Order: sequence, then C-alpha cells, then structure tokens
Amino acid sequence: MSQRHSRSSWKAALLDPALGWLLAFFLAPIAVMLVISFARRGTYGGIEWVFGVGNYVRALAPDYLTIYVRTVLMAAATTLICLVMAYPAAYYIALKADPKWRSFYLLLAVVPFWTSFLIRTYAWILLLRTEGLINTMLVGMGLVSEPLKLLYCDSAVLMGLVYGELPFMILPLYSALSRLDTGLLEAAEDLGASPAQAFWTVTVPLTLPGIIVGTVFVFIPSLGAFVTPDLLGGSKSIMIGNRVQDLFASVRDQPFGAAISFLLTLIVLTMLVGAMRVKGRTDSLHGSTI
Amino acid sequence: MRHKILAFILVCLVVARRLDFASPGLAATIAWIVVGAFACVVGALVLARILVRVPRWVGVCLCALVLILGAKSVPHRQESKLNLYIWSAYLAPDTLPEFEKRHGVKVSFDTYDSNEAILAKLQAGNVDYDLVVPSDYMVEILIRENLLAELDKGALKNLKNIDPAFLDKPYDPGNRYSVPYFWGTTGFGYRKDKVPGVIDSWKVLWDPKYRDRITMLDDMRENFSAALHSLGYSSNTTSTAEIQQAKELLMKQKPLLKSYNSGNFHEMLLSGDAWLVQGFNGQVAKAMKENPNIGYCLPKEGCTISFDNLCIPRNAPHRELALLFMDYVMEAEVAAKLVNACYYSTPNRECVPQVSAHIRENSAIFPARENLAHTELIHDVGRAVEAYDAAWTEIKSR
Repeated sequence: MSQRHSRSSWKAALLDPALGWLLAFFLAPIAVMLVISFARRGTYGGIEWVFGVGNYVRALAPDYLTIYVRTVLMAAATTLICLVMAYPAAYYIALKADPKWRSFYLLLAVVPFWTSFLIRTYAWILLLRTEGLINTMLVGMGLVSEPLKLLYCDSAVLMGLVYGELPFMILPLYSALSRLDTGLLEAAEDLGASPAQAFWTVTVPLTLPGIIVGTVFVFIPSLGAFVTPDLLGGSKSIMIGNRVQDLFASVRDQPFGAAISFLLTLIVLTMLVGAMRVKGRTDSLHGSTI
Repeated sequence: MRHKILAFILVCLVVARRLDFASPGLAATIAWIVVGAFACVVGALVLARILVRVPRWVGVCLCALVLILGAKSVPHRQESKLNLYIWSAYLAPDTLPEFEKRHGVKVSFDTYDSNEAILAKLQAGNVDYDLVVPSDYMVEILIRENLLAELDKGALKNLKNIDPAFLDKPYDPGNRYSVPYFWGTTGFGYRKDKVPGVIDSWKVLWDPKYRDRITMLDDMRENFSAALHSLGYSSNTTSTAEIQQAKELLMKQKPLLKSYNSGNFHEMLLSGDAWLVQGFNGQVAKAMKENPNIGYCLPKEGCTISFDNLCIPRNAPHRELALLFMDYVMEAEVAAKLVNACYYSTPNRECVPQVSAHIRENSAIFPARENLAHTELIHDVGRAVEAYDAAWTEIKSR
C-alpha cells in the first residue's frame, strides 16, 4: 500500500513543472482577464475599474452574433474537411503502407512545421493572387480567359485553415488506427461483412477516440485563428480572433476584448468537456485510450 | 542527483535567456524568466525531495539562487550606449555608424510596427529606451500618461533647421516633448496605365469599374478618414450621425474591395493585383521609383497627415545622449541622407538642397504646400471611439 502510494506521488511529481507553468501562465492570466472583462475602457484606452456586465451585453449584439456564427461554421468546415482528408491518409500510413516507410510518411506530415506558419501563408498569397503563379499559368495555358478570384475570399481562408490544421488531424488518427486490432476486421469478414460494413461497424467505432481528439485539436485552433483570415481573407470577412486582436491592439478596448476572449474560452471549455465525456464513454466501451 | 537538478536549473536559465532575446527589453520577459524558472525549480525540488531526501534548506537556497540568477540574466545594457526604439526602415545605412564614430558611443535599436507597441512598452516600465519615435496622436497620449521627458531646447541647436510650419502642433503645443522626424500623408496610390483620367478625388475608390482592384488600409481610423473627408466632414468628428453616414459609405465600398491591407499595398500596386490602394505616401513613393506608371494622389477633399516625432521617455537612462542624437539627425546633411534612404517627407527645410533631385521632384514626398491645405491630423477621439468601433465591426462582420 505505502509502496504504491509513494510510487503514484512520485509520478504525480513529474507533472509539477508543467502544472506550475500552467498555473502561472494559463490560469492566472485567465483570472486576470475575467476581472478585466467586467471593467470598462478608460477614455484614452486604459482600464477604468468601474464594474458592470456592459461588455457582455455588447458582445451579444447582432454584428457579433454574425461573427460568432461565421467563426463556428468556418471552424466546423475546417474540421470536417480535415477529417475527410486525413482519415484515408492516416489509414494508409497505419495499415497499408510498408512499415519501412511508415515513419517517413509521418515525417512528411510534420515537415511543414519546420517553416514559420506566417511565411507559409505568405507563400500561399504569392501562389493564389490575381497575378500569381496559378492564375498566370491558367491564363497562359488558355484554360481561363480572366484570372480566377482565388485569394481574399472565404474559400481562401478555408483552404488556409485546412492546410494549417491537417497534420493535427492525421497524427491522432494514425495513433488510433495503428493500434487497431486487424484480427477484428478479419473476424468481421469471416462472419460475412462486406469491406464497407466492416469499416463502418468496426474500424470507425474503434477509432472514434482518435477522431474526437483530432476534432478537438483542429476545431479549437481554427476557432481562434486570426492570421489566416487576415492574410488570405484580406481581412474582409473577419473571424472572432481578428476582432479580439483589433480590440487589444488598435481600439485599445481591453475590457471588451477580454470579455470576448472569455466567452470564446467558455465555449471551448464546454466543447472540451463534452468531447471528453464522449471519449470517456467510448474508451470504456472499447477499452482503448489515447 | 543534485548535480542533475543543478543541470536542470541551468537549462531553465538558458531557455529563459533565449526567451529574452526573442523580445528584448520587454519588462514582461523579466517576469517570464523569474516566474518560469521558479515554477520549474519548485517542480524539480518536489521531485527531488521525493527521490532523495534533500534537506529543506537546500531547496530554499536553490529557489533563492534561481530568483537572483533569473533577475541577473536579464541583459543589462552598457553605459554610454544609446537605445533607440524606432519604426522599421526609418534610418539611413550610415546614420548610426556616423553618430557612433563622432561621439565614441554605441547605438542599438529595436523596431516596431505600431504606435500601440510604444505605449505598451513604456506603460510596462522597466525598459531602457532613450529615444522613441511615436506618431502625433500617440505623443498626445504619452504626454497625458506622463511617460515623456521635457526636452532641453538649449541642447537642440539644429531645431532652427525645422520648418516652423511643422512645429507647435496641437498634439504638443510649443514642442515641449517632441521634435518632428518625418511626416507623411495617407492618400492613395494608383496605376496610371489602368486608371485613366484626372485622379484627384477619393470618389474613384468607389467606382464600380474598378471592382476587385481596390484596397483600403486595414485601419479603422484611416478608413473613416477617407469616408468622412469625402463627405466633407472632419476625420475627428464625434457626431454619431456623421459616423453613421461614413459607415454607410464604407459599406457601399466593401463589395468593390479586393482586401483590407496595411502591409504590402505598394507591392500589390507593383504586381498589378490592385490598381487603387489607400496608403501612406512613403511606401507608394518607393513603388513609384520602380514603376513610373504608379502615381500618388492627395485627394482634394482632404486626407490624413501624420508626424512621427523624436521623444525621450521619462525614465530614459541616457538623456544627454538622446538629445545629442536628436540634434544630430536635424543636421541638414544627416536629414538629407535620411530622406534619400527612406523616401519619407522631411520637416527639415535646410536639407532639401542636398536631397536627390528625383526625390525632390516626387510630388508624393514633396507635395506642393497648397495641396496640404485640407489635410488633417488624427486625434484621439476619447469615448467616441466606441461609436467608430461599433460601425467598423458592422462593416467587417458582413
């Protein structure tokens, strides 16, 4: 008993540096933000310690609802596209690829991280713009008469988000698929299931935890994205991240910015708890963990 | 075991120092370093106390050591070194070396890309900048926030070189805290080969013919400045009705826009992606040098004029040196070199003969005085900023 106890506290101590870090740089700032969000903007951009819920009322104005809806839709679309694109890739790497090449394929998925996201986004601008590489080529080959509108629209933002988040979907899916017991698939086949049936009734449910983790990994950063809508969307149809950045950096309305950030944090937390619940249930069903 | 813990602490400190290099001079980094290292060490100690029985006093000593080292690891700048905090691309190649040689001192500089960055750093305190270069409205705010030191005019012999038309502005009456460094206007650049006719008005930026070839700055006040001026109002209005009218105008313009762009609008003009771009004269002038088909328009309805000013923060460690530098860049020869390198408009009238002819004749950099009649400074509008912000949100949310 005491042996067991000391071992588990030994393990818990491993968490300490990370916990200390999170406490100092995650929870404390959120607490500060919460307090500020009830204050109001001083005349010249400071914080006036007059408390009220005015910021939260403002945050529910119709314009903001439009922005929230767009942000959530954008993040949801990003997640869905990532899932549809990443699942086959992860499936191939985990189950079909030559094991010799497996780590090479995984490496390919992470290679983009070696370059700054900002620089990669600027590279997309060079490719997509009206006088850019793709349009020049298309016009030059006579495929289109007018340059296409590839940049500064919602689809450009979506493309950029999917591009940025895709690896975060591939990796958890790979992890789930690589631990899939292929014997179960053979059993399904022996019992007369078609490959499609086996996929939907065996593979997908067993990799559900991976799907949930990937969804969380992709959905949450997309929700807070601001570089992509700014650079690839031309800042025309903004997401909530742009608004927060604007409020802090140029309007200097910190209390209102804090209120919106806090609302966003709240939404994310609710979703996380929900996702963890679902994952917990499937974990106990299938006895697998990620 | 203990040497492992020490090694761990060492790693923490190295990481902390790297963090500091990533954003030098920021007071917050000091907190980052100390608290971060502290959190790591406390964690490591708890771990160590469980693994081997380390006496408590060792832990206390280690914590104290880390706090002291952490505080010390923040690089202290040497004496007789001038620390400049300035916009990027605002110095000529030999501006600093020449000053260093003349006074036998070192000059180091950091750059920023928004006035708000200066405010944030000076408000945070604990930064040792000797000279900052805020724009007009930010000078106003910094004075009000009591963050600037009053200038000793006796030390500024070359102040006489500055055109009086650019002195004694409302943001700093009597120039008690600031002297102008560069000034500029926010009109629009255009492609003469794509946009024919006489271009002298904001109206062309609302012309449906140029749909998808127009960009506006991604800046609330500059957008409203263009709209309010086209309506014949002041860009600093606090009237809700006038702000609403400007909002309607900007809403009407939005479907025609390619993008809101504050960064590389001049490049879009060069590549031909955009033909009409609201922008700052200096950047458009640089594009004009590369392509003679690019023009710059100071709209007849009026537009924004802005001044970037040399100021000394209240807690600057080397005030005398900062004054020397201020006086140095106001020398005619130095000021001329700055214009030749940076392509911005100078308030220094004595330097004009030494400026290269092609810059002197560029109407974007040296506009005729009468064209400046309708220009207006942007002021902090106080509470009215909320009306602007609500309108801007509405525009951007569509």
